[in-house]
Amino acid sequence: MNLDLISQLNNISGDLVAKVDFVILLLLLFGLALYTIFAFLVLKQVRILNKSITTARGELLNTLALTHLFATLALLVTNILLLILN
Amino acid sequence: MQAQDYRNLRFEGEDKQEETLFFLRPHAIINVGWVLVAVFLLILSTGVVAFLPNNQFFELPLEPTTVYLSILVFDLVIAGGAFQWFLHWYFNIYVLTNKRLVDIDFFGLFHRKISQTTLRNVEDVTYSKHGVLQNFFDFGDVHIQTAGTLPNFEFHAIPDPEGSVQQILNLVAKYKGGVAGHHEPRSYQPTQ
Repeated sequence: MNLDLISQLNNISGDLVAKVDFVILLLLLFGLALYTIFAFLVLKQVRILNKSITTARGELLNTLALTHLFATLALLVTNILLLILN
Repeated sequence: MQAQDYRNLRFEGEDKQEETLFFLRPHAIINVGWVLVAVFLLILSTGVVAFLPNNQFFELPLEPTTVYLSILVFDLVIAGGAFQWFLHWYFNIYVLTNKRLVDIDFFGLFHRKISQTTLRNVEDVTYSKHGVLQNFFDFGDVHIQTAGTLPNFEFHAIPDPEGSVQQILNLVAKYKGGVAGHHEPRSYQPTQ
């Protein structure tokens, strides 16, 4: 009797983990999708600013903006993969 | 800023024969606020990872991979915000060329303002320092009054404002055919 109850509780707990996990991943996906647009805009902005004002460290800023975008895309892909595997 | 950096600086609308004499940027100390906030938040997220129990996250029903991903996203947002603040500081530049004064203000994503006036229009240059921080780190605001109804220029949080005022006055005097190096920089206290 006790073992049945524990087993049922474990099943409920497992379902809850899966559901909350799924919701959190969906929320993260939504946030990351918006953030990817922001990362694209930052890159574009840095390029425009570098064109307006040419400084010695312009190339470095461009690389940083590009790295930021790639990091965002990497997290977005990871998030999608986790959602698929869930 | 090294001398060669002055020569590397080019800005939109610059003439071919125009020479950048010097440029100013707000003092680096003004970045301390956002740097501290960013560092604190990054340490906080690292702390969460360090104290994360194996399969439970403060009793929350979450998979560890989801928690790690959430923290990475959080760190990315902090880094992105810090980068925006840095850009805001880095691209707020005041340029003095052999022809004019240029004030380049960067407010945010795709919002920037470029104001300029010829050296002929510069009438009065003063500076002000407020508070302990500005006096301790020697930075302040430079106020440039222009002729007639033209808008005045405000250079904010400039390092060594007294020296900058002297340099601007010398260049203006040279441009107008006066004698450089005989100007007494004056401090200015704005009315409340």
